[in-house]
Amino acid sequence: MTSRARQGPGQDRGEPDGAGPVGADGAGAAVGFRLDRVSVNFGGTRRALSDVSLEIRPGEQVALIGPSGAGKTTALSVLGAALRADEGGVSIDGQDPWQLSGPALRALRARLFIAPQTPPLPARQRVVTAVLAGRLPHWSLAQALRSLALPADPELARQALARFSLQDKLWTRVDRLSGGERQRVSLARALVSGAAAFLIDEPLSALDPTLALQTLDVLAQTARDRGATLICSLHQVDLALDRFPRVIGLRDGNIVFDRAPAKVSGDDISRLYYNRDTGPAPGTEWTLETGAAPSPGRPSRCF
Amino acid sequence: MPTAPRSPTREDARLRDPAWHLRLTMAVLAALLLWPMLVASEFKPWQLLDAHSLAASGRFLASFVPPALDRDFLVLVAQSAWITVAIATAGLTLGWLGAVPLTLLGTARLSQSSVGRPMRPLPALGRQAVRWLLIFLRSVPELVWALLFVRVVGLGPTAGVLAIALTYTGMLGKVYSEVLESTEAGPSEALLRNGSSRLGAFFYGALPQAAPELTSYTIFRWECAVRSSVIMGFVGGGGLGQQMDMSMKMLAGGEVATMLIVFMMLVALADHVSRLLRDRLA
Repeated sequence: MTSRARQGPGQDRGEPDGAGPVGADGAGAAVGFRLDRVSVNFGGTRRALSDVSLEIRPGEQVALIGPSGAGKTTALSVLGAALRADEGGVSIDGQDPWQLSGPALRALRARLFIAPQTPPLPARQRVVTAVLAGRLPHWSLAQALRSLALPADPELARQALARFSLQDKLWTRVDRLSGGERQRVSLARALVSGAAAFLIDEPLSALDPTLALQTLDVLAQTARDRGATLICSLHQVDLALDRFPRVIGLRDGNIVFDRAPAKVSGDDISRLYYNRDTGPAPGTEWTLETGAAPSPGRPSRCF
Repeated sequence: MPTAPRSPTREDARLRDPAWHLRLTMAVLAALLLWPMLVASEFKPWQLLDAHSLAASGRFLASFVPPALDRDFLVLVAQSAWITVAIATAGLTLGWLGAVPLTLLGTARLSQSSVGRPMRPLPALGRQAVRWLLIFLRSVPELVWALLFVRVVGLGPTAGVLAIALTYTGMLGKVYSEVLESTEAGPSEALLRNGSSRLGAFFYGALPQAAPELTSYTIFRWECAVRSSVIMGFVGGGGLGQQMDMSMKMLAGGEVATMLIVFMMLVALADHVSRLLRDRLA
């Protein structure tokens, strides 16, 4: 296995299955994004996103960093047409997704691949089926049903898994996998999807440093080869600064900085991650001039 | 010491479980509501134990032994049991065919229109309509449906099959929806967000999680359908129920006992098949 697997799926297989125009959907037509003063409110006192404006060009690779709860996942959901913003303008590939008709919105969503932080894989499913589920938007119902009985394109799934060194897990059940393996299986699904933009939420959270590096490189390389846009939220600041040409720092739903990694200073990073309860991030001196720590909110309703 | 210790009363207030009062109130309310219901249903279990009723139930049960085991009767019971199983199976299959599309329409978890925003008014209305249809179908007891169909198609198993089909469409549709709603949202949501159809999200996201529950519930319902078809036998639906009705009227306790044993065997069979399939799908 080898050279073929290294090239990656998608390139040597332009049209793996007849139903969907994969070539047209995938490589070539990358997707650009524009947010114009976007706010998202989940009903608390604090907004998940507050007045965020940003533009991401087709084919760009962007890392989103910031402390937990900064709004990274919300931002990815808004960019992926998976969450409607409460205020502001959203434009994906030149269109406002929420003005589109149902079928047009589905077609747009098929061109965006959102990978959530928790791998969305049913425990009882086999890896091959979980990966090939990435092809669902391009399959007819008959193809989807047939593939449940006998996987439609195991070779495509194996190649995608091979990029993450998981090719021997092809026929394993998802619940026999470790957390890190599940995470990479859900990324293999992204590779077979033929999407023109990847919006990946913390792809490395369950991976050791070596695997994290390999995984990130596979994602970046695949996106580059296909001319697809890649937006990744990350907690690994060093990797974000090392591997991405553009880094956006989010904190409390606001963009704190948005620039090339060379222009991101240590001070920017400590300011971004300063924790009001525990103080500055380890190894930094900087302190935020705020008052007393805010009192933790009490749950309003629970059973 | 960087900060002064907080006063103990404030600390206590922070540690008080915010859900406790509501839970307590709910429990007291439930108990208060239960009391008038016990009164209304004339719940007096001690009546079971007075000498008169003990003697009556003793006589009734004593007539059950020995079970009737003569050859002719056993053949008759086997034939009736076969009709009963056929009514239950055919009725459940038709009910299943009705319930599956309604489930797929009614399950909010599989809604395209509500990905990332509140559900649109039209789909929400459609879902509500499906819910009302299911409520209507299962709120009419199968016995009433059977009496209606007996007038249309005459005495015999067909009325029972149709009655079970309608009621069980309502029951299966409701519980299937609820089983699907209680699966983990992640898998089906991720598929919908990435442009899959509702059926794609169902088959690849929700069904793998829910398959064992759906299967065991369906088999349990088959068990219930066997019991229902017996009740409908009492009103002329054929099968074991009709035989049992006749045996009861002739005060032939032994025959009733034999038929009850057949029932137990059918229920045990359903239980066994259910466990087998659950193990297979788990």
